[in-house]
Amino acid sequence: MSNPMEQFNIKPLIPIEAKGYDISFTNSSLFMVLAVVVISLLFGLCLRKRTIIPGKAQAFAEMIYDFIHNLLRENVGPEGLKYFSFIFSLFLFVAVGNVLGLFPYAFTFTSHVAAVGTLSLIALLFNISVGIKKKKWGYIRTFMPKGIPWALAPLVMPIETISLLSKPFSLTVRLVANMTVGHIMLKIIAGFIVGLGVLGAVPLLFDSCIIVFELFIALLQAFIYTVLSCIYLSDAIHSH
Amino acid sequence: MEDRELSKDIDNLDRKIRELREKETGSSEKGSSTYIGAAHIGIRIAADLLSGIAVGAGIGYVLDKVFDTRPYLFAVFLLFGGAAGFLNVYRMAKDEENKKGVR
Repeated sequence: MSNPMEQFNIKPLIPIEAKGYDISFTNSSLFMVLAVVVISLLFGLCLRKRTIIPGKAQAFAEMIYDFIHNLLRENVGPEGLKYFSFIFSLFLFVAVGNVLGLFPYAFTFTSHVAAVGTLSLIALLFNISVGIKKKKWGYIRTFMPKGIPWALAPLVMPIETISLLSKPFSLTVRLVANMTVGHIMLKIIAGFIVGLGVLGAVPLLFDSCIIVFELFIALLQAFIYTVLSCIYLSDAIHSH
Repeated sequence: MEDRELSKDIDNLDRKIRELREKETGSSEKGSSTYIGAAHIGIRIAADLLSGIAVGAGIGYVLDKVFDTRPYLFAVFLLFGGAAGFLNVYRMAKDEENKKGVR
């Protein structure tokens, strides 16, 4: 049986080195580019003919748009719609990355902490800058909730700071863990299909069920990732 | 004038559809998604707790390196991190309660 962790190896496709740093174009980068291409193609093709009464393709694109639109309105409120483009891109990138990873021989870039972590860090920096822009110096109050005596500030402020900084970390761990676990499970069970010969029909059936479930998880995780980014954004905008 | 009435009609229709959808999804999803929902909350609690500690430990480690005070800041920030992890879980639990309504 082949190694189930092998699918997560990053292989450089076009080696590039700049000032001692390895910035090769890897299979991970390839699938990120692919995700962007798929998204652009999807929306480009679906919205080719724009009519007031949408056809099937246009309705599909509008459905995704509406979905994120409602998500933002419910979780952040009307003032959150300013940041629609950011959340929309985040959702599509993660969702398409997850789904692309389900294809055989594909690479799942969302199973790597480096990729998702960077996305989360961008979300964190975005949220902090939105908060600072909105409240200027009052943003410091985020780390000092109301009703707490100043004597406790040296205790509460580090805790609140770590709490804020740990959010993107937990967001990353959750998405990465979910994607990694699913892919390892698929691979291990797929190994049994070949090994068991005729009896391999049983794990084959099992794997077919799991891959449907994985598709569901892939979209659900992208959804959860987006919802939580929305909630952090709403914390940055609304907190007192 | 006609335009306004039309948009009012559309709004009404929109509201009706939403109400129906809420009714449908509310009744059908509850049974099947209980386990998945519970699993998600479990994973979330674990991730929140661990990430608090990990980030605290990371900050402590870096500060130790910067100020050359190994291992004191690491210990202190490990505790802060644990507290932050619990704070995250506590806030999450409170949010979940609020969502479900007080029982």
